[in-house]
Amino acid sequence: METIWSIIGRKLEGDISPEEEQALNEWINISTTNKQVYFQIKELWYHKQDQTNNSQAIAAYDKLINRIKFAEVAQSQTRVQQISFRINQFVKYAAILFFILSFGYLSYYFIDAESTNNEFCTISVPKGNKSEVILSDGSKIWLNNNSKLVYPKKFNAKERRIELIGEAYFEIEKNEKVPFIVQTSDISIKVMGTKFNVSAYANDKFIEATLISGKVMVQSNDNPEIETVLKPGESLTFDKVNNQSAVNDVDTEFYTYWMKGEFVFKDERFEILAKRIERIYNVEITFEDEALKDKTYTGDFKVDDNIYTILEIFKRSTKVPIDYTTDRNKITIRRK
Amino acid sequence: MDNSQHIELLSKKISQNSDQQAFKELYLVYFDRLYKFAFSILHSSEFAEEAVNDVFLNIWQKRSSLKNIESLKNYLFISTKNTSFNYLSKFRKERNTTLDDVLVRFEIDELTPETAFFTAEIRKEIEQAINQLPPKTKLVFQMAKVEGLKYKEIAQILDISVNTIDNHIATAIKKLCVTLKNISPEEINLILFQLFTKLRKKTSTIGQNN
Repeated sequence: METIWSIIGRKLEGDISPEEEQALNEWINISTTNKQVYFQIKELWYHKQDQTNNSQAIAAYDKLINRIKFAEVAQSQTRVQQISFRINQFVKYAAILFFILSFGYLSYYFIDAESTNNEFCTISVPKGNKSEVILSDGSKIWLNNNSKLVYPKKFNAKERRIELIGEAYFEIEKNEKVPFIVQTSDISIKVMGTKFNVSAYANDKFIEATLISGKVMVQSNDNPEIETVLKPGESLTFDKVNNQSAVNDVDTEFYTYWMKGEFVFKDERFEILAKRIERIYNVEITFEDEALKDKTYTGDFKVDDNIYTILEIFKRSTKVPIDYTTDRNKITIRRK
Repeated sequence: MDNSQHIELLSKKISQNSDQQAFKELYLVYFDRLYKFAFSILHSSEFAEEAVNDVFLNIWQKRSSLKNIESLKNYLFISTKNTSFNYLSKFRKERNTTLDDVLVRFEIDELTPETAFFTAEIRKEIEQAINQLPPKTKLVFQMAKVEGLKYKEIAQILDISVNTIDNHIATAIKKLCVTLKNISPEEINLILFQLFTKLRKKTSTIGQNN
């Protein structure tokens, strides 16, 4: 149905037929009110509000350029890490191949039998990535970003020992006779068959072992005779500086969100959060004001959220107003 | 400058030569309109700016495939719409945001005194009238009026038919007419006076504008 309203609309848009133009003119000439109203609408419409605020656009453009540089630096770093990982793999396989070829078929058999005890695999996950491993005994391990796992290709009959730097979640196949041992820089976690999470990053002050189900024993590498037994829902925090450990009841859900690509925290200190953000987004965060490190936050993000979204949310949600500046992959947080 | 040949040239320079100057020009041509479009959906200047920058970051990173995009202008608006919707979903913790979930607020910009055509009270009444309309109608009206988009372009961006756009605009215009007709005669006289002085000014500067 052709109404005068849609004709006016099309006139303003600039796509009107001669017949419609005719109808519009007739309508305008019916009364002074029509005329007035038409001119007002036209005025309102063409007042496009387009006095472009150029300074806002230019300021926004500068931010964009910063982000582009930022993204390029982050990308190239990940690439370098991935390439070096591939080279390592390549060198390893080349060495094995060389070994096999030079010693011949028979000696290969001999070496293979011997090497089951000492042939190790290493998996390194760069910042901003995750990985999943299934071991020869069927145990499953999820490796978080910036983490490294060393494990034997085949476990021996006495124990299943692996080494971890970083964070991982474990689902260990039950085997009462052969304990599974996660060795970190300062503590070792001994289990029979269970689900648990271990966070042992080299530059964190604490190592944390959290038990979801089953039973684990934790021992310090220096004093292996002292064992702490964890029950499900308990988390052991080991302070690397003063060699003290403490056991707390925790909500274990918070320790497994990372596997789903979520970043969830409750009353967590800003300093700890900054460390996690650094690992997820491959950035460096510094605090201009030390006191800000102790502010606590509760919240959740998706890991695929843009880092700027996260910084903006921090900026808005804090009781103490904060602000940040970015320079490539360096972020500085200050009091506003 | 928003003529399609010029935009095509910029797009070519960006995709073939990674020309940053052309990229900046493209940004400055569209920033204002994309920003206002995002703002009408997000109601936050920071997030509207962020959304526009997300779109342009993506353009820069995928610049080599720019030549496959038929209309860069439509692409920019569609990406801004999608990005803004994603932000909304995130805030509301919902999986998807559709056109029906968007709350659009219509506002007339503050004008400088000499170009002010509508008094503050009339502006307020117009804003109120438009804001009573359904969100979709408001968004379409905003896109046609503020962003200066053609019905065809709006149809592609919002993925609805040109006919529907026509109806939305007609609804908005009707509402405006009714509102303006109800304004008291003294105010109308004032408007008429301003209108004629303005028209005279306009006729005298037309030569320069075109």
